[in-house]
Amino acid sequence: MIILQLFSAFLGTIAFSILFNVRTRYFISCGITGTFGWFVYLLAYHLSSGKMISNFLAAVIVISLSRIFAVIKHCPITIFLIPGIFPLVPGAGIYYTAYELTQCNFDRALNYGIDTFQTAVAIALAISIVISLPSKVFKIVGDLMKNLKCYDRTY
Amino acid sequence: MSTMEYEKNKVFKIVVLAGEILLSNGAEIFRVEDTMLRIANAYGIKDLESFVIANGIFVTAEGEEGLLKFKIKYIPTGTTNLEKIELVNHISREIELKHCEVDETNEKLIKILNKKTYSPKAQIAAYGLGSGSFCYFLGGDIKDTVISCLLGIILGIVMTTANTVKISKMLSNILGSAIMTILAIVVYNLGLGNHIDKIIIGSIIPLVPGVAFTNAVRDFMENAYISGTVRMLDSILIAFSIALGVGVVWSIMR
Repeated sequence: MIILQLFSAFLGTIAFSILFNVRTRYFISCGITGTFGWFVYLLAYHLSSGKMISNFLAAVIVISLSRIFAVIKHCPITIFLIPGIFPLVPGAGIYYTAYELTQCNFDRALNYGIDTFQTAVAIALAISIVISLPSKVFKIVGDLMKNLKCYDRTY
Repeated sequence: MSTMEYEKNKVFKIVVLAGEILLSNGAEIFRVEDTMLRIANAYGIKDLESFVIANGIFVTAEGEEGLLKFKIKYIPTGTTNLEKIELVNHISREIELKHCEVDETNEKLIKILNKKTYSPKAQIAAYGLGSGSFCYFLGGDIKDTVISCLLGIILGIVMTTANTVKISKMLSNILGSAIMTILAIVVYNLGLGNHIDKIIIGSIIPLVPGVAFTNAVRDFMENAYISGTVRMLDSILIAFSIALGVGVVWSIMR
């Protein structure tokens, strides 16, 4: 069951890589980023640490992986970050909030709205923390996986 | 005009072009500023000042006798194309490492500007794949997934034709989500799916403003508050237009 879920996250991330015009050679890395993010989310959620914490942890993994891939493949972090974080991003939440508002279910809209806001804050915090980590950390991890040259925040 | 100044003018044009490609394809604000500065420095313009917001670039370059050039460029928000961002980024780094002729770089940038996206067929397939897999991991069962996948393909066809006819983004979102809801209700009433809400959310997921949202958050984190606000508003607007499409149909057909 969980394997199928992870596989669908993998396929979904790759589908969005096509829609965002990522080059074919990065598909697998994008898929791995998305899958691991979703795996960590499910794991944290299963250990009942709440939605916000689960999202935070999952986003941390997604962004760290994106940075590592960026170092290894020598290209901007955006390429892995945008498709990879798609399973976590509260796009569906924004939609549900707006939908309940159009149906005049205000308390449900409020519920979804707060939920969306929480997720957004969790992801924002994760992004700001991991992006501001010194690039050396990811360079070391990246070097372990492959020897490569310099790195800075635009990568 | 001296040759020196002529050369600098050309460089200035390249700098603006690079910024334009990056911004119109959904790069973050700091990347646009950073890349423009990088190219300018590599070609010997030391005093480049840029101010970039989500839909515009303002650049000045100073020469020895005061202001050399000033440019305001309006850039409408476009679709996300990560390949172009990657290629421009690559070029800016290449220039730094080894010398490249100005004209050569210009040609390369124009080539990137005109680069084609994946073919409509591949995009339609991606819509289907995305819809199906998101339906599954948002909680649908196998039946819902298959239906969602098929609906996603139809959505792909609708959206690619909407793109070629060039109707506004809001209208195409309302239209796409309305058609999806009609089809989902019809299919559900035929007794083919099990969870109608999962089918609907799965089939409209390719429209959902995930990128705009992520980029908005990243802009806030890099202190680009104006751009962050613009992109956040953009994503809320898209979400509302999707909800409107679903909501209207749902209210009528329920």
